[in-house]
Amino acid sequence: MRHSAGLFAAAALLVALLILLPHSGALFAAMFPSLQRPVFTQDSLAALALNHAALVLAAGAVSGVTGVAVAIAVTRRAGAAFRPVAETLVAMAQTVPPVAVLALAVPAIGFGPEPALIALALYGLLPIVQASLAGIDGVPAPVIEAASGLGFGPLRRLLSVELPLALPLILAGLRTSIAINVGTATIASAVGVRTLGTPIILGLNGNNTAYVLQGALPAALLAITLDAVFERLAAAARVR
Amino acid sequence: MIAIEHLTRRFGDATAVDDISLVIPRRALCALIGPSGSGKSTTLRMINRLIEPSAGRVMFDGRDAATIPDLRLRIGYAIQSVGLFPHWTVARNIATVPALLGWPRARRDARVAELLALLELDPALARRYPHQLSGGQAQRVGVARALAAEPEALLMDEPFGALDPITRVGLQDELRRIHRRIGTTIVLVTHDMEEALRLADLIAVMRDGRILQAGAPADLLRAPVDDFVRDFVGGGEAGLRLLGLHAAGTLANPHVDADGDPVPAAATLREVLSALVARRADAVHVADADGRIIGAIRLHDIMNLAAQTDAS
Repeated sequence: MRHSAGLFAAAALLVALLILLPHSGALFAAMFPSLQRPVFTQDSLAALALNHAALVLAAGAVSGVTGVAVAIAVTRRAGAAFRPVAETLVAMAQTVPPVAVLALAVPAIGFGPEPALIALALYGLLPIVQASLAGIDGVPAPVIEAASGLGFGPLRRLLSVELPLALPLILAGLRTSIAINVGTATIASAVGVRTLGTPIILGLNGNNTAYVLQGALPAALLAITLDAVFERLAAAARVR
Repeated sequence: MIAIEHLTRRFGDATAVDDISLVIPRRALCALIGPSGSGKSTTLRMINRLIEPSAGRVMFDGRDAATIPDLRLRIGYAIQSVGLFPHWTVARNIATVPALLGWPRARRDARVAELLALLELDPALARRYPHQLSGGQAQRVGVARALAAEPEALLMDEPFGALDPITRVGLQDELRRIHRRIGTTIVLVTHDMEEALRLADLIAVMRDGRILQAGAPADLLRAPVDDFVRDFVGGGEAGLRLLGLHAAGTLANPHVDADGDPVPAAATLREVLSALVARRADAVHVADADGRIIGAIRLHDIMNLAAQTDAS
């Protein structure tokens, strides 16, 4: 329960920030006296944050399902031959900058959340695949042998022995993936998705540091909050 | 009855098990023994088809193992490294196969309690996790798990190999007691001849994928087929090991008297001989389980027995 305190503090601070920032004109006017419009009002920060979180979690779900499936496939006897190829491809997916994926995806499927989702899901795949592989590889050989010897079929062995034992590491991979993508998702605004990146990109274009701060601060707190959520999940899944 | 018929397993160019045949009678405890790489573990794993034979077959009561559905649910399996499921409690580990077979909860719980008692494990351990157990406790739980669904046979791959000598002998005694009580056919892989002699009523000596000799312990000790079996089975202690197969109670003579503390009737003649040497005595009393003297054994009774068994 002691981790919950950090989670609640981060979440409370995030909510407070989302409510207070639009009403902090005086503060930002004092900090940046040269700006004519020191407060981002084109859109509700809370709506942007929700959208941002939804995009990141959706990408996390896609890369989570894909990543775990890839890890399972290449740790089966039939798929073992594909393991080096899969690991290389996944590593390459993270080498390609998400901006480049966006640039390539937009002409193909147009503006909107889809290209952003693809870019984020690809970018977040590596930590999940690596962690899932480590988790499945880490199941002790005698445990696997005992499971087979006692009559578990391959599917039952996977579901009731391998995956539960790998779960803490899989969740750790998901946590890393999500934390990375909260930051990366800000660039999704470049393809017209409303995220906390919207005030940041507007601010950068218009030389408005106040806008940048009003997007970056909630984004940072969102990352910390989601990280704390997954830390709790991982702790709950850990074997005693 | 388990009948191994012309069983062969090749791994690439290497032949791990080479055309072996062996009949293991119902309720027997058979030890497969041999040096590392002799093919004993491969043979064991072909019995429950964890390894597919390259040729030959294994018959259970006249039925080809390859045609038995859920074969491994019907054969217990215990290994040296135990392999308890670390995310499950001891109770759930023991109930693994009953759960796979769909036993109702109450029957599973009753069976777990019964097995904890059979293996002399504290009932409070049921709710513990494997990492909270000692090596000996974990191995007992492993054996309990293997026995949980009342299997028709029990396969054990060096189950006591990783334990300290005292725990090992304790568990060997336990296994012998359990085997006598439940009468399941047991196939045990070991490289420890003392263990095989202590437990088995049928020993198959393996080398380079072949069975050199299979038979009752006394037959192997008395009439080894070649020098390898002679060295492996008896070493320099064939005579002592032969004495180790007999209980003191069988030789106790009520008309003989002796001095000093009695030895228990369940002790082996090997232990009696050791006691005689240690006491520099010619005879020693034998007492039954209640401590009553049932007779005595003289040094030359032991020598006579050795002479008789040699002649027979």
